[in-house]
Amino acid sequence: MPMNVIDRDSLIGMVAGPLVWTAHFLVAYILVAVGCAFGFGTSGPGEWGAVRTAVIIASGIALAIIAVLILLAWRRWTQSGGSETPQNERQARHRFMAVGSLLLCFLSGVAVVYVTVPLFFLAACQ
Amino acid sequence: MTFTSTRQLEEAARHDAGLWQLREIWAPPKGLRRFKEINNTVIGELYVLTAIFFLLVGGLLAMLIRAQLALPENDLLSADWYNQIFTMHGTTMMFLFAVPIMEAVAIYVLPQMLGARDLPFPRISAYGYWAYLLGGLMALGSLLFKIAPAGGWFMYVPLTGPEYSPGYGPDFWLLGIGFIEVSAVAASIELIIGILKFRPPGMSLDRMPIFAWYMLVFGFMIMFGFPPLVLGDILLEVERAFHWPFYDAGKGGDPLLWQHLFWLFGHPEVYIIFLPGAAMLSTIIPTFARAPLAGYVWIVLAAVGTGFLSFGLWVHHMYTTGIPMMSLSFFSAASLAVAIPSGIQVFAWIATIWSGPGVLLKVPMLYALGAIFIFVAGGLTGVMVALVPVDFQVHDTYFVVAHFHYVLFGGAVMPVLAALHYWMPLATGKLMSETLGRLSFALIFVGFNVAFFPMHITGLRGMPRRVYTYPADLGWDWLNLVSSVGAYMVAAGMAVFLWDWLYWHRKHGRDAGYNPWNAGTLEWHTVTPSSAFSLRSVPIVSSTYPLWDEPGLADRIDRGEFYLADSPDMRRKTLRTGTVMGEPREVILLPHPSWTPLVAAVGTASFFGLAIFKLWWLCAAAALVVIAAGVVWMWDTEPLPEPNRYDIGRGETCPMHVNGTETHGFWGMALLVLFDLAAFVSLIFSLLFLWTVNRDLSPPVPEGGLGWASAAAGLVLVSSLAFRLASFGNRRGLFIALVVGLILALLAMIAGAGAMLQSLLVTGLLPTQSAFAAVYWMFVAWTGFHMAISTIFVLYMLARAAAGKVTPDRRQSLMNVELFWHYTTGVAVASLVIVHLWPRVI
Ligand code: HEM
Ligand SMILES: [Cu+2]
Repeated sequence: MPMNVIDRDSLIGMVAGPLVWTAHFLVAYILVAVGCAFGFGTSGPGEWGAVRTAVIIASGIALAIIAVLILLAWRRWTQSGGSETPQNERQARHRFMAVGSLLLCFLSGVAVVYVTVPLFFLAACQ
Repeated sequence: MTFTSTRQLEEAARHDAGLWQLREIWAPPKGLRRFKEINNTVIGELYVLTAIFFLLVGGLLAMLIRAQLALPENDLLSADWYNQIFTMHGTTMMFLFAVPIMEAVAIYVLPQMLGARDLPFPRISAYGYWAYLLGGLMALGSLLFKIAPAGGWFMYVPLTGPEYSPGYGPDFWLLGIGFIEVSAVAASIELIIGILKFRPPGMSLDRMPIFAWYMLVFGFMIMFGFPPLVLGDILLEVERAFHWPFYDAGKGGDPLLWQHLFWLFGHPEVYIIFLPGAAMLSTIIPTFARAPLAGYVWIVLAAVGTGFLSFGLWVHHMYTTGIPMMSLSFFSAASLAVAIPSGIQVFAWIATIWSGPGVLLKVPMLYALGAIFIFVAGGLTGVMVALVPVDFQVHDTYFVVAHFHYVLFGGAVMPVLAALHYWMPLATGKLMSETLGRLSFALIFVGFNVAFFPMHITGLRGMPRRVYTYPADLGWDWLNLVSSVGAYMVAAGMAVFLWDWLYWHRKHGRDAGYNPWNAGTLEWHTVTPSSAFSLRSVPIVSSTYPLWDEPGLADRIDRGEFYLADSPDMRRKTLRTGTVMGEPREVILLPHPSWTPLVAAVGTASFFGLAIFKLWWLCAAAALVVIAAGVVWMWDTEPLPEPNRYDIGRGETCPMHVNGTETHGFWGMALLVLFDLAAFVSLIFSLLFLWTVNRDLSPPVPEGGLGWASAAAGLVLVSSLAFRLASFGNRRGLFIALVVGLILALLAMIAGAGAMLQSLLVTGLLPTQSAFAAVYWMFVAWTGFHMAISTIFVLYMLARAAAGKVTPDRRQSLMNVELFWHYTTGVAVASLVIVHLWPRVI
């Protein structure tokens, strides 16, 4: 995604975090469905295996992207005056969009972590 | 001064030409011609009324259920009749009440809240409304003949397939509900574009009423949530009518495919219902707490976050179907994550109440508080059933029935009742009765808990749902009796509400006057009842609660100090503004009353109704009626006034006709394409799903079709190029290039369609043979359908061109059609690749 979409006050930029979550969720779902159907995922709890590793790598990538998005949103937030009262309309709007994306990124990050944690405990394809 | 009575308004209109013009052009036609009206206030009122009517029907069915279950071994209803009744209860409540009432209320109040005269496509709202009414009556009609669907509101196959439900029941469901989906999509396109483009100047995204944020998310959720169901519907209907075995395990299909498609829709559906409920609460609570909503941006986060996460939940309805454990854990995780935004909302509401100077416990607020209480209780059991082991235990018992009624009642029914009490003055100018309101609230709130709390226990004691009776002495008897008593209390409460709503307050209610609740949002800026044109002039706002923060604003709106305060040319219009900041961009000429939406809806309804009985020739006739109505409807779009500037007041002017990707027309087409794309992706999902579950059966390779397929792909690509040429020529003013390009595009597309058909015919694969073959054919049929639509569009564009209606300055319709055209090409190429290449490479 070009930087200016995220930097400008755009709705797409605001929902970038949840979009990453969506992509990760889909990838994880498809990896397990296809992987298990083809017998790549016969690992038991605690063992590694192709499917598990692939999903965990996907989670790592997703979390990294979300971390970058958080940094960007954070920068926009401080640029728009941080926690001071906004001076004008423009600033108020920038602030709102920045905080909005920040919060959505956090939520998406948590949701990705939730998806990832059970991976370490469950058998892959049962 | 602000008008405080309708009398003053009348008085003013006599001396004020602008006000007189507005009233004149927005006055609904009288008598039978009233049904031509398309304005959002008239359509919104009908919509609300109809949705409440369906609530009553659903409620009556619930009363029959509870009468039957009150006593053990009761024989009031036979088993089959009971099945029909609970199926239609669930179906009516979910499809005919819960989603439509939210659209209805939004269509009614949003324009007033956003300082717009109407929504972007009033005729589409009207069409959507009529489609909903007719489709709903059609689906319910089956009950009168005792041939209603009986497979439960989620219509699981194979129970509803051709073998086990040979009658018409499921067809009523599939076609009736499929039809209603059309109207939901219409409404959601309307709401999305209305919210993004029809806000008053100054209302940037961070100042939008919170109701609008929620409805925006609601609109997008329908865009992505309904397509899987529409596709599932089509597949099932085709299986029933033509024996294409998508769900038939004997032929490589899979019943679980239906479950996936259904719940891909079904879980978001729960939030599609709940988010508008939350929107109503988030609007009502600040008014009665007399404080702005605490944590505006947090609520936006909650709405948007819920919108996304709710799409990661569908499989939690399928925990017990043998999906890999690891996949289940994803859905369990998402189900827990979605509790976070819901929790945030509840805390924000409580904080709002806390931060104000004290709550006014008027009836709407009572309902709102009741809603929160019930919803939170439902949320708690929701977190319980989201845990896989708990669900293994209580799956399909009355525990689940209790859970989802808590969520639906708290999330939808109570907020709707609150909203109706709250906003009624806009429609009638009268306040609903406080006394009757308290009575109905008490009956409904207490009755609801008496009815549904015991069901948790009945469920834990093992009573399964969907049984028409039960033996005595299993410990279920008194619990069921109590539930039934509670249900009748709810009914009594509803009766009180209706009496007040339909009759009492209109006759005897107190005049509401100006801003009766002292609310902060724009819909209350003038004396009630509000006018069909919403507001005298389109204001410039500078806060989320303009009526609280900007003293004198209401008054200035009423005096016509802002934009569009008159209409000397006697045409309905409103302002289109920029998406993020809301600056004026275009004056939109809105359509005047017309019969076309109603005619088109009757045509569509006839089409679906006749399809139930497989009367294909009559179906074709109905389709022609729809097309004809559509052409009449669209013909006068893109008027081009000379000069193309309009004086919007305050010394500013705006163009009256803009071409380009920012126009509401283009967005409408783009959203339609998005919706269609989501359905197409669902079809791809279906193929991949069948492939992963059928490991012993590899997808057949369509031998010998490759040549034809390449030809087809080449032809459709050529047709897109030709279209490009046509629109390029038109921009340069080359009429010949336009016409030749369009004709070339048309011919190439038709030839492409033929080649595509041939590419499967030569392989000898028949759709009835196996599920894979059926899916291949579905790809071809799907593409063919789009090609047919595109063809009609282009014929229409040629007619417009001949009439001189396509010129360099008037190219919006051409652009819209072009978008659809390229999309069709994309669908065709993707389908060809999937059918002909994919089986060869795997
Ligand atoms: C006082 C009002 C209501 C009562 C007494 C009631 C009662 C019931 C009962 C007893 C069932 C279970 C039937 C069975 O499994 O045999 C049921 C099912 C259901 N109800 Fe309600 N209900 C009420 C209102 C609502 C509302 C407002 C909604 C939605 C907005 C709703 C949606 C459903 C759905 C979706 C089902 C599942 C149907 C199925 O299993 O196919 N109900 N209701
Ligand atoms: Cu669900």
